[in-house]
Amino acid sequence: MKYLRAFAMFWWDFLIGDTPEIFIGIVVVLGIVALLGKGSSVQPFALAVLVIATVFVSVWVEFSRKVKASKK
Amino acid sequence: MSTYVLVAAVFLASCVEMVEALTIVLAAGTSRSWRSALEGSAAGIAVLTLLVVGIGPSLVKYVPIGSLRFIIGALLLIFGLQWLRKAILRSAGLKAMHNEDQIFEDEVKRLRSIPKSTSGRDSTAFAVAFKGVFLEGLEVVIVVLTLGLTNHKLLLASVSALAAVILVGIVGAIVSKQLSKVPENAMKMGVGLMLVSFGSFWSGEGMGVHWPASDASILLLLLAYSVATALMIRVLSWQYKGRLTSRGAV
Repeated sequence: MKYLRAFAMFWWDFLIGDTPEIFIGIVVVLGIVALLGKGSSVQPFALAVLVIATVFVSVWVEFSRKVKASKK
Repeated sequence: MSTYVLVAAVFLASCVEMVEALTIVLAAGTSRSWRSALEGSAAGIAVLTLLVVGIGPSLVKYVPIGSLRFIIGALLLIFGLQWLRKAILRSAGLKAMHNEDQIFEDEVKRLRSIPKSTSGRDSTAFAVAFKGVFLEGLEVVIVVLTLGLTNHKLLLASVSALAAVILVGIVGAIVSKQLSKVPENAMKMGVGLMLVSFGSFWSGEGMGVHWPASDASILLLLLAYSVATALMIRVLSWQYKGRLTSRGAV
């Protein structure tokens, strides 16, 4: 049980950790790309743009947090 | 061409993780016992090797390649974006740089405060070195398995990681405590960009995405992500400095 818990904790830390927005972002990105339909010519571009948007949102969240903290 | 990117990604990722592991091993060796620290490191590397040998071939044998590529691609995307995010924040001045010298000093101080055992092997040095190598190495194992399996180049990925371990070991033994000189953030950013490029490509392949330039699309993705990253660093650093200056904090 102890090892199972440690194993689950490892994957939780690895996939989610302190950046749940990245995990959620990637799930959403892959969902959208899948919905565009197999073989669609838009898929590769959509995937790249949405991945960039995900990292931008994640760094912007941290940026806002830092700015808020510096106000205090 | 993607083979070179694969080798570079695995090599750089292994270097970054091994520098972090080496800091812990050096601290354990300096403050406790070199013999036990080296034994702990060797045990850590042995367990990691067993993981690659044990898990790698079975995954290829039992999981359909399409599903494997999709799952591995998604994992690489999440993992790579975490590295990239950290590197962007550090480059933009929003996060402190990783200081290996400070970590080394803190670890030595902590380990010296633990009483030494009277028997031959220093169990603290062994456990600390093993844990350091194993935990840092797990990320390397994941990179080796994911990149190696999707490209059918598990052996090449393993050799690349092993070369990094040997190189960092030799350099570490020579420079000893000057690990802060390693351009860790730049390396982390490079690895993050490569992992995200591979992750996008393989998750796309797994979903049936038709890449216009086939395998060469990995390089195009790498280029697009590099440009976007450079822009993000510029914008963030400019915005952050601007806001701090307007508030008179700088």
